[in-house]
Amino acid sequence: MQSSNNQYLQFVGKPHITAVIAGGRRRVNYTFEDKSELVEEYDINNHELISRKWKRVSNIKESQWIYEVGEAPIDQQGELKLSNANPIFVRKDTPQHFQYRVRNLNYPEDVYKVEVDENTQEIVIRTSNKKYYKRFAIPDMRRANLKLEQGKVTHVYKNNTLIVSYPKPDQILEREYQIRQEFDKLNKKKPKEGDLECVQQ
Amino acid sequence: MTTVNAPKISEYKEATRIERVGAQSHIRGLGLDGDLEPRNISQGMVGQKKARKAAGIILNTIRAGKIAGRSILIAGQPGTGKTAIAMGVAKALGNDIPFTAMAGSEIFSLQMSKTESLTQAFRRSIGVRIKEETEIVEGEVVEIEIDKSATSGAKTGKITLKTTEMETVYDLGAKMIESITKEKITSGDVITIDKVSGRISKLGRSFSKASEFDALGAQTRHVQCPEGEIEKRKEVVHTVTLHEIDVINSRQKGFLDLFSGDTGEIDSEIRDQIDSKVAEWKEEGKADIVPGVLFIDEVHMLDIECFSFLNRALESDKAPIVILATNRGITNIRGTTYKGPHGLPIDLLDRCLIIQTEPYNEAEIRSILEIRCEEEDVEMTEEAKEVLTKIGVDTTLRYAIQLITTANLVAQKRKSNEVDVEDVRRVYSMFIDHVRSTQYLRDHQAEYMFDEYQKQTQKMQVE
Repeated sequence: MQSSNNQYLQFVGKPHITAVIAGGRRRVNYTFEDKSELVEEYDINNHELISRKWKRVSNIKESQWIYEVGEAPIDQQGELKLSNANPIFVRKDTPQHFQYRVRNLNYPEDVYKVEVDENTQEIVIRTSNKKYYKRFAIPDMRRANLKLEQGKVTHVYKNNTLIVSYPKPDQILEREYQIRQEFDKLNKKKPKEGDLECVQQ
Repeated sequence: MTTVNAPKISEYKEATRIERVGAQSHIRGLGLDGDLEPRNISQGMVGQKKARKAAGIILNTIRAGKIAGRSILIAGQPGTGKTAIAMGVAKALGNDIPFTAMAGSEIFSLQMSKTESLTQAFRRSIGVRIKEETEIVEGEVVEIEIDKSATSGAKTGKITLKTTEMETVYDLGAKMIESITKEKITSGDVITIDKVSGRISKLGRSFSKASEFDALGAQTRHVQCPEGEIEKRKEVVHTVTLHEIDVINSRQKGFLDLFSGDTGEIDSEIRDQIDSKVAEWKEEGKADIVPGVLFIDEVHMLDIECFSFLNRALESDKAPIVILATNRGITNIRGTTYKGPHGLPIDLLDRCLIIQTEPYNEAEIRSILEIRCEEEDVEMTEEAKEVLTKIGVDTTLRYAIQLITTANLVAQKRKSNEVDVEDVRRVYSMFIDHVRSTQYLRDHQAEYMFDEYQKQTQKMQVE
């Protein structure tokens, strides 16, 4: 897709890429040499990243999809699943920011504290009433070897939802711009549902 | 005997549970001390010193893990503790080392050939220890809520877990609810749940709840309330058996098939692949091979094909330690017309170390009966114990053990908590043992149906 391969730092070798239009979205499938997979879904028109999931192959147990962006489908059969009264943590980026939303949070606004832990390179959400706590890293920044900076993370609370934002650095903005150019080129061929597209490496 | 509390609305606790007690459930280990000397009565085992000492030596061989493919035969009269010794070895090895117990007749299945059953049994007994990252849920239990639906009888439940920073509520499925009630998890316990396997481990009790309870089990530890997030990815050392890896790799939904019991035959190609992969991991240091124990009870039920297979399989370097047990003397080897000691061919016997078990003496029988009384939660007077011991000596140990619970029920009928001599006498007369039964048959042969004996004696008299 673009010349810089460092976003695949975690995986082996160059991936084999296919793109398909499915369900009104552009789905890009990367298959790596060790049989792990990455699937990204973009909105067709504005090229927004809707979901990104990874699957690592393990011989010992069944591999499962790990969702980096977007929500995993709920496992109805699971023996232990989160009750629906719990807060739900989801990532959904905007063009300029990495954005994380925590829905179903009923506590007053001043309870929340969001900061960057520079040692572990993670963003931490704390509540002063000890009801919710979450630590997470931004994989895109990790892959590009960029550091999270204290003071850049902001948060907003409205409609029972806490929205945490971190601005995307220039390097990443440029990469995304390149991807969008690619997709615009592909869109010029007016693709329809089910079309397979060849993607430049 | 035991009572069950009626469920309250928010918290459901059972004071004690009536658990089904198995014939060897009182065995906790081999009862050996540091020098491998068997103590007379320890960990549920009584007497049988020679056999236990030998088993202890085998135990250390297993633990060292370096020697594969040894086989041991435990032989002795019925009721001399063969299965008990095997159970003792299993419990002494602990959860880490795979222990597969099976009876000889289980080999014969319509779904799988005999050699496939044996191969699967072998591969179930070899474990691979791998470090894996799994998702776990760790926290202190705040509240457990279990409801039983009046219409469908299905149980639903919720559990609230907390750490120093947060709280979460989880919905529970049926199997999870069972594990929770079985482990007797209550508010204040700090637990870990493996999300993938569903296994629950109790880490201890939280310090903050320490003052509320007086009577705690001997093994209860106090631990800190966990910190940070409830859902974590942790590196866990995981022991999987070769058989499980086979199944997962032989079909798509492999993991679920393990639970539904549908295994069928597995391709030998897959097995070879797995073997080479495991060897690779071993070289890279990613995994450790843990040879375990395969216990085949009633081994005289296997036939000559199985024995030949065993001979060969025992020689591979991937063989577990095999413990065989039988109570037969010189009998027919199944599948042939020859007789052999213990019903086994001599070439297999040659590969085995044989441990003999001997019948118990009176003092030992008495101790065993006392241990069983405790295990089955039965109080008995001294005189009743004397009588029961005498019965055990005259008839068989098993018969005496079976009289314990029945005598207890009779005692309860006359509203007494303790079993007395009259209860034992009553059950002795109600239930007869095999010696008396045989005697009775000899005396009353003619009155039973299809009696061949009478005609035979007549025939012999004529001749």
